[in-house]
Amino acid sequence: MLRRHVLKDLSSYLDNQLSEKEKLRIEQHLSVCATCSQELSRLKVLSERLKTWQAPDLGPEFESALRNKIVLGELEGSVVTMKKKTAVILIPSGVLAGILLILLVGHMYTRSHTIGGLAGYRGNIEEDYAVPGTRTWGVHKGDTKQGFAGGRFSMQADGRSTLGGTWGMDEVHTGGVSHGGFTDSAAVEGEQSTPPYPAGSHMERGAVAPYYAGTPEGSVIVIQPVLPATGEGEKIIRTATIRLEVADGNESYQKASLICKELKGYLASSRFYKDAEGRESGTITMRIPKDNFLIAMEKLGALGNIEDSSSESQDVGQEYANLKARLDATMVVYTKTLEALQKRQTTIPEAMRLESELTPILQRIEELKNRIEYLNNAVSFTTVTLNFHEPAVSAKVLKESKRYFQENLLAATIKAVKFSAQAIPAFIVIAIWLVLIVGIAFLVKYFIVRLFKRG
Amino acid sequence: MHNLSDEELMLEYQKGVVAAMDELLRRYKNPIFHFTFRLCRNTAEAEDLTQEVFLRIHQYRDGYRPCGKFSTWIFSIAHNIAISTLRKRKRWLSWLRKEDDPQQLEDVASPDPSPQEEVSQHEVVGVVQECIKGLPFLQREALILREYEHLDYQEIAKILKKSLGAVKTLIRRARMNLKDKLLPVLGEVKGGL
Repeated sequence: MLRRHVLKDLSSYLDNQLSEKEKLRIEQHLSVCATCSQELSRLKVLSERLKTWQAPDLGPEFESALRNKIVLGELEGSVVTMKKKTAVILIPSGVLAGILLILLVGHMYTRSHTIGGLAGYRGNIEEDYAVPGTRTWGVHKGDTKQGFAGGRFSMQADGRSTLGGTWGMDEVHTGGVSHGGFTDSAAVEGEQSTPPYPAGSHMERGAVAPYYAGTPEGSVIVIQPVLPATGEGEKIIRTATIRLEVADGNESYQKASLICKELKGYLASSRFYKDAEGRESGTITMRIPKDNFLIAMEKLGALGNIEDSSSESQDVGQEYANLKARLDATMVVYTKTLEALQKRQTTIPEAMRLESELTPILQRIEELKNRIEYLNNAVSFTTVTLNFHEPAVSAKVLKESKRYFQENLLAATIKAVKFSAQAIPAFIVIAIWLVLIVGIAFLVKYFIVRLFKRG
Repeated sequence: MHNLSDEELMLEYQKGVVAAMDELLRRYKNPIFHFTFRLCRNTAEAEDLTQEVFLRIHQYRDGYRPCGKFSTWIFSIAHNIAISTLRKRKRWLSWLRKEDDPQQLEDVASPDPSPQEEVSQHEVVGVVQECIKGLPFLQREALILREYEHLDYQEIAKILKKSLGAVKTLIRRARMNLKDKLLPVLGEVKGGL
């Protein structure tokens, strides 16, 4: 028999939460212990008293309200989750990304306008150097080109190159044989900017159109431009323009200047510049003795890939002959007048009158001589304009572009940091106010809901 | 549906059978409501807590595994919700009133009894309520689960996440406290036990 009280186990015994062995032990003790039995009775009474507190049941509207809430939760579940994530992560990230994007786009927009301005300027330069109203021949924007080689201008004909041929050009030599006119006009897409010269007059001076040597498809077409007859009496002013794509702009500029000097020419004008992408470009206008014209074209063409080459000629032979004839006639008049003056004995007033008559003749003679000297000079020196630029895509441009990108990125980052330094405090203040307002709103709502529920 | 056990009903509901949830609701809405009502002694709040319990069941239905009794699971949810609500209430009240006494905070949750409660205020039930209210929260919860929901100690231990011995102690101490408080009062009111 258990003599110790079992007060601690009575609660479990009352709840029937003991093992059979423990229950038996408790019951044996209770049969002999009045204290524990009385305590058990008290617990039973307590339990009975507690059961008097009956909670009310839920109303029938509970289930329908719950179903509505479940359906509403299903509909808004993803939205609620998204709202939370958006509020915490996506909105600040989106705002930051948007600010950076706006900064970058704005910066790129500004830069593109600057580059566009430079490109337009280059276009203007080319237009400035073009001579309107003249006859041209040459190769325009061909896919593959070669420069002058051995006095011959050659290009790779792939069927897409455009050959520009005009009338009134000089004699064409192919393999030492002179030809006149176009031999295969069907294969030539020419541009004729001005009406042709009278054929007869040119043929008399040996000036003919460029010659296209018919070759099998895919082979090299050789065009051999020739100078106008350089013999006595040939008075032709020649100008040429060549546009090159060069690997190194600065080096090409130096080489072109050297070529000009070697050929006993001189630089009429020059310009060298570097665009925003780091590409070097330049324009050199040089005066080359007419005998060195072909050599100059050959050497200049070898500096890079020829993109465009054109040559223009202006025959001033007729004008030269007229000037010469007028000069001779005026000289005759002057000589005869002077002889007559010297042979006769005249009074001083008469001598003064004769001298005043001779003065205009002398002026006329000087004008004619100057014009003839000018033409001689123009004929003796050809004008060659070289336009060169570096390729749009190259390692150098890539390097410059990387540098440009890094500089812009750095500049944009600096701007973003500066902007953030100014904007973040404002954002924080706004955010604090927003949180306060929202918090107050939720508080008000919470208390109102509670009041309604109690009511 | 009526023949299925609680666990089977929950598995059916996992598959999307809405009728299973209706049956579970029919079986458990009042026990859960009674449990929460006795904890907070406020009808509206108890209703909200009950609703929250069933919403959680719906929300986490896919995570349910029939490794124990359904009643244990649902009362565990109710316990967790009650605890979290109590904590929130504590924070709010401590912020509003700047009081740090947890016991006091627990009991000021429902300072104004409902009209129904006012009617029974002078009856035995009122005395019982007041005495139960004076119990520490865990003792109160364990006692309610035992006395009113008739759960065995093992289930109560799982719900409260306590050991079996701890539950025994909680219930015993709750009864001792009530006996000391309730019986003298009831003896005066009703002429003793």
